[in-house]
Amino acid sequence: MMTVSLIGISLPTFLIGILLILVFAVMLGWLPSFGRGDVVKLGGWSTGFLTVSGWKAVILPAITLGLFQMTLIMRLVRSEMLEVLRTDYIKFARARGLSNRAVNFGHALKNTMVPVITITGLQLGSIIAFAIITETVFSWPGVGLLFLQSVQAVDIPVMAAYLVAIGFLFVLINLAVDILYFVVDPRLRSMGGKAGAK
Amino acid sequence: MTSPKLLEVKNLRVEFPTRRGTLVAVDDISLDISAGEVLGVVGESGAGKSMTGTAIIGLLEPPGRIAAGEIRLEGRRIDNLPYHEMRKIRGRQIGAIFQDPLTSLNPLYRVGDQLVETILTHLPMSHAQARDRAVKLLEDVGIPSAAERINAYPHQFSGGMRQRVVIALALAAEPKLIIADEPTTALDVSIQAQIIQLLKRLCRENGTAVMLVTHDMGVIAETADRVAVMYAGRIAEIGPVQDVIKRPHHPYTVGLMGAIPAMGHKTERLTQIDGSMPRLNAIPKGCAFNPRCPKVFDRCRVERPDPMPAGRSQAACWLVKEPAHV
Amino acid sequence: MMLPTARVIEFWRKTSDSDIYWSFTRSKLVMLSALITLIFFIGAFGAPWLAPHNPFDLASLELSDAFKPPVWEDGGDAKYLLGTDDQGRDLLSTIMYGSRISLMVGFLAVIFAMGVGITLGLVAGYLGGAVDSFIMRVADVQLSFPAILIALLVDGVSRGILGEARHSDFAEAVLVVAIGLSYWVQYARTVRGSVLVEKSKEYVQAARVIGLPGPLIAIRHVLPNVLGPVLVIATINLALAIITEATLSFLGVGLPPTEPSLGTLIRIGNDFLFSGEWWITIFPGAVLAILVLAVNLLGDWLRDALNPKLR
Repeated sequence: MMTVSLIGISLPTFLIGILLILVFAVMLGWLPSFGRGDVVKLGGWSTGFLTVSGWKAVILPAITLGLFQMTLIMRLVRSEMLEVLRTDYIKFARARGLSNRAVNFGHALKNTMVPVITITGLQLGSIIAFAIITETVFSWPGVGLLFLQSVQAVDIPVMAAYLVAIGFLFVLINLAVDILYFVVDPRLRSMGGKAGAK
Repeated sequence: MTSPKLLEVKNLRVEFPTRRGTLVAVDDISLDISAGEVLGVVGESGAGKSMTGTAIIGLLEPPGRIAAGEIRLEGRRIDNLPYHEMRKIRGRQIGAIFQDPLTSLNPLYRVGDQLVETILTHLPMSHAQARDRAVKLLEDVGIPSAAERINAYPHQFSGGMRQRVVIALALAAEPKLIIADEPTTALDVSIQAQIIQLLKRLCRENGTAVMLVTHDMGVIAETADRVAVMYAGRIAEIGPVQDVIKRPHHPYTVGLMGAIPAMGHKTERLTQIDGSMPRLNAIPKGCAFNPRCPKVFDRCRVERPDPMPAGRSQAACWLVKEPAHV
Repeated sequence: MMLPTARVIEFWRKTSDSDIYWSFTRSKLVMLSALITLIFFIGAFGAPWLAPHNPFDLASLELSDAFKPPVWEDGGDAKYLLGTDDQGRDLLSTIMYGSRISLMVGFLAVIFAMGVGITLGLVAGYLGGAVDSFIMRVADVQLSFPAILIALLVDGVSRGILGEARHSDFAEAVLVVAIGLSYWVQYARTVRGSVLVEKSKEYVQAARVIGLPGPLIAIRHVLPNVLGPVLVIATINLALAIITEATLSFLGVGLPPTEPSLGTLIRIGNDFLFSGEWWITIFPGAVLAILVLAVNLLGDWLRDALNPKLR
């Protein structure tokens, strides 16, 4: 299983995209290899989320982007679980006769969440970056492609604008991550407000 | 030996297979505990005392395994039970307290939730009943304003208070036996006595038997009914606590007693046992204690003694058979 | 004062007795990936001698040989084992030369990242205070930006500084710096942590008291301590660096088609995917994936073998 997940993080994103196109678009012809499909006009807003071909066009890019992140988080949860399962409170939970499910999912998994949230937050950021690759592979005229062209053309103002926009997004993501910490870990909660009572 | 024993351990052997051969952490140990009795287990670190406790509740970490012997709870064999059967015994029949209260509680759950979860796992109660019981348990272990503190998280308690919570958790489903593995070692000296007193009182009130694993002879003398002295994975001497302290038979026990400072007595100087306990991969032939024993003779270097009756105790020493007293 | 042979024997005895060697021989998968990595290294670095053709010798290229499929397909030519690309270059040879470039860039980038990271980590750990805060904040900020963005940014800026024409002359160096700069943070953090631990130890305090250069003594203690973790990071980083290089080249900001790395080859082949010449993309892609997988497997194993907690 972990060897399978290693394949997941060893395949470069662009290669996954190319392979998916080769299999599902060129060989099987099930899904489109580029573009965004048909769009519907809703007032002044055109969207591809209301058409079948629009959804079909999303499938391959979504898998391309998601596969790497998925395997990465899978490996992270595994290594964190291995760490947590060695702790005293897990041993004590077992000694109290709690069921395997309660120990593994209730007690252990929740304790792996803090690092998992951290990394997932960072991964959200890299999804934005990897969109550059996905947009290139699937020929989507998105902001990632714009950035790529600005790098190739040394268009410093566009590069800077892109980075500022991305940086702002990262700040928002980090804020969300910090808020999630507080939800998950009570130790952080009491540090902020009233100090932990004796 | 006619009264029914709560726990019987016969010829228990715990092994750790490693790439450089098998380490024997617990070697051919037999002991028993009656209902309501407190059995102290003393020994240096690495003597196998914690390992014995862990083996009894079936929580040896792989690759460690029980290689031989049997463990019986009220006559029923429990060392070969499948996981889900053993799970019903843990907490319900045999409770456990570990060394470090700071790490024994899950930091992300309120202590009340951990108590209620344990109670509901073993006892047929509604959630509200379980919660009432949880408050009662916290009161019993001496946590002030338990009804409010039940909603606190572990990090909001001090070390001593946390160990009280741990004791409440171990007692939550009224087990018949508690295995307390160094329950006070991680605590301040001033709190140690309180916790031991608490444990003693609660177990007497509930008729719970205790296997008290510690390296602190003072705690044993004060608390235990009987004591087992362990050395290098084996029992050196086992017997009523007063006998073992006052009239030790095994030279190792003699040395151990000599190393305890007695209060109120004017002792010239504390005796010490030369050398140190052998590592598990280098246990000498014959009696494991022979290189350090002041009374060693030829037989000790060749043949390994098994525990044999010595007064009201049992001691694994060839000297016991000899008329000349230790 | 041991004789060299005695030393070798002694070294081998110690190595074969070590836990690492033991865990190595226990896993067939690890041994297989070590073998694959070795074969790829030999194939890549021995390309000028081992490759059947020289794809950069323009005189030998025949445009009529373009788009030849692999030997086992219809129309395959025994001269070209894995077929040819759009310019009639032998694919096997291009892949061997391409892996050479990919591996070179990967190695150099890792060494660059290691140098920067270890130096900054040492400086941050020793000087502490404002310098430490500054370096570690930069590290934090950089960590929240994905490596590929940083590499793209460095590449873009260098284009601006060097100009387009000179940029392609320095493409390899730019890539090394770009990738190296995006992976230094982990080394710096590891080294800094170890420095902080060593610094608080008594022998350093004692050395200071009697006027010896404590930092120098401590560095000698820090470096052996971080050797294991740094090696693990470096192995996994090598895989990442190869992927990053391939990605940049695929995006067209890495190595130019005149000097194709694996990523460039995949980019070239991608244009012909729909017209049925799948081999131009798939073979370099497979080589890239297998190489990265093998290196990752080695890194994974190394991490577990060096981590006493998991044993």
